[in-house]
Amino acid sequence: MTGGYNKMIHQALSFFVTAYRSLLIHKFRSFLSVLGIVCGVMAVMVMISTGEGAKREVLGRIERMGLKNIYIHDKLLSVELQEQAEKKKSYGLSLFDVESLRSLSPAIVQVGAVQNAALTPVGTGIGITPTILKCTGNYGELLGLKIKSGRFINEQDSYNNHQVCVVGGTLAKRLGREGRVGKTIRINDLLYTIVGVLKKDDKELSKTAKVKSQNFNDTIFLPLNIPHNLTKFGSSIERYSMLSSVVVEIDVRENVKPVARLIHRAMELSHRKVLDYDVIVPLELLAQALAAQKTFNLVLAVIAAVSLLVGGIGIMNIMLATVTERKREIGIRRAVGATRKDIACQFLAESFLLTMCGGGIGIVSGFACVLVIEYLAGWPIEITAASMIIPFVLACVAGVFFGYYPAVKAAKMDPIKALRTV
Amino acid sequence: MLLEVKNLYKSYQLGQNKISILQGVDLSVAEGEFISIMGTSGSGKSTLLHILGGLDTPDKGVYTFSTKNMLSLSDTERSWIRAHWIGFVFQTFDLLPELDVVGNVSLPFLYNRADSEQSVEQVERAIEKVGLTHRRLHRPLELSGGEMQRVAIARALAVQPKLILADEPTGNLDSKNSQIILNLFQELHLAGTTIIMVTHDEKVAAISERTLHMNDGWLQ
Ligand SMILES: Nc1ncnc2c1ncn2[C@@H]1O[C@H](COP(=O)(O)OP(=O)(O)OP(=O)(O)O)[C@@H](O)[C@H]1O
Ligand SMILES: [Mg+2]
Repeated sequence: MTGGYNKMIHQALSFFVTAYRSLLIHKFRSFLSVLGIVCGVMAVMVMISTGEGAKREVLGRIERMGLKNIYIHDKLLSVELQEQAEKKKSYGLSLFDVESLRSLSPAIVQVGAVQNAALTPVGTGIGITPTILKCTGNYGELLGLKIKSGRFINEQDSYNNHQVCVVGGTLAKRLGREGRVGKTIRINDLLYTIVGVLKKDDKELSKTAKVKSQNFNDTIFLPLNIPHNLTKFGSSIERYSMLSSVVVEIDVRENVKPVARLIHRAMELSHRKVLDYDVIVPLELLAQALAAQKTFNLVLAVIAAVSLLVGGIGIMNIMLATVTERKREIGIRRAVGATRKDIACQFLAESFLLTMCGGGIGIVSGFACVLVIEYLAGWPIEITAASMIIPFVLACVAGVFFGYYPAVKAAKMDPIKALRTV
Repeated sequence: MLLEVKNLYKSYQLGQNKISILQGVDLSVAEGEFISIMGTSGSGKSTLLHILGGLDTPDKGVYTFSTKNMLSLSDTERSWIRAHWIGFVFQTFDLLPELDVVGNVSLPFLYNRADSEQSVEQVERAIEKVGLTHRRLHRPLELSGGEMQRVAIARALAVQPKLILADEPTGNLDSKNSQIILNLFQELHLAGTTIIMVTHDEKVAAISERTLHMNDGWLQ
């Protein structure tokens, strides 16, 4: 029965050709009627693209922080709180915190620390002021920093107070020959030998960052000097070695939450309830970001539904008008042998084609719109296949759904009445 | 007998009034016959033709077409019969304005089982038969009334139907064009097609083998 099959294809094709022709007859009207669908598809596409872009950026940033890490950042206090803190003898993040966190739980693999050293290198003549961070030997590993050549700061550097440094990718490039392993950089009165150069990190520091991200392209890492015996120095060292951030690595993700709770409690105790620190758990941030995304998706779905509903009603409206207008044609087709189903299919093909064109136009203009937004607003954009396929398919479904009633109406029309209509 | 109608009734309800149009129509048509039906305007000739073509249904009566009980068939089955066995020709030609001659004549094949190659051939032959091969790619608006009616006849005969139903086919034409149309019917008749033609014109009716008159809701 290939003949019957061919016939079916031929018939379906002719429905679309007929549909196409009748849409062409009323070009402007057809265009107006799909405007709703076009806008709907466009809106959905723009929303998905910007949503995906924002999501990717936020998630990327969080993941870069390391999902098994917990960060404790130093917090600047207001003057009043500072007085309070001094009364209670809490002096911000210090190496004591690092020491006590290390033995807090068996789930803690390692603890690293970094200190923002208010230092500037001398005589580099490169026009930018690098950030100088003093860090523990495990800091590079904790943050997943990638080495281009040489090595990162290690434990020995830290404990033995070696005069070495690691430079960021951009900085090394700017320094040229002077930025290679083995060369020295002068900071204050001391010469530091470069032992490693970091890979350039091309993640941009975006303007819309909700989660702070950092790259270390312009950074010089120095070893954070750790005294062999902390306790010997007593409280004076607390003030002296203020850390800007402590990083705690947990063995498995499941332990992140409970350990975070432990850390909160331990920190509260050792800092005597003075909140001169912030505990940041990337895994929790991730959960929050995903939850926010869910809400966003829901809003998106509602907007998509509403716009496609409005667009669909536009289609239904025009199709009902078409059916009334083409009564005579329906009568003629019925007289030469068209069944009700044939008539219904023909009108369904027409509304389907109409919304398909609308969907196509919507995607093209959505694409343009997304590019303009990216260019003008600088939002992160991600055009995925889904961001095009979903609204397109929805539009087509709306076409069939809202074309159904007019098609049935056409099919049910009494052929005699249709023929007697002039 | 190709078709047999017995005691056919059809009425319309207009508000309180019941208008009886057909009141016991009897009609038998043998295969190959050429019959004309005459009658005053509003006597129900078109109504009868529509019922014969399965487009309309009577209130009661018996109608057998080609051994099939037409009144018990479904809408789809009656559509099938129209697509394969019956050709309509109307007074107002009733072509689709957006299709050219070939498109209009091909229309029935869209709804019938004939395979595509064969139908293309039949369409071309039908157009040739009505003498419009040179106009085959023109749209109806570019044709004269007589030419349009010839296209309509080509459309009706292209599927090689058992029966052609013509409702005042020359009603809108001058005598010269009418003659062309009537010659076509004559040819079809000689080729063995059964034709039932409604007309107001005695001279037109004269070319048929048998003329029936619609009077007070029945044929005589
Ligand atoms: N849907 C309808 N409702 C009510 N009356 C109708 C309807 N359709 C047709 N009629 C009536 O039925 C009668 C028969 O109509 P029909 O078209 O069959 O007449 P006819 O004999 O073909 O007339 P003419 O020669 O003018 O074409 C007319 O009086 C018409 O008004
Ligand atoms: Mg009539």
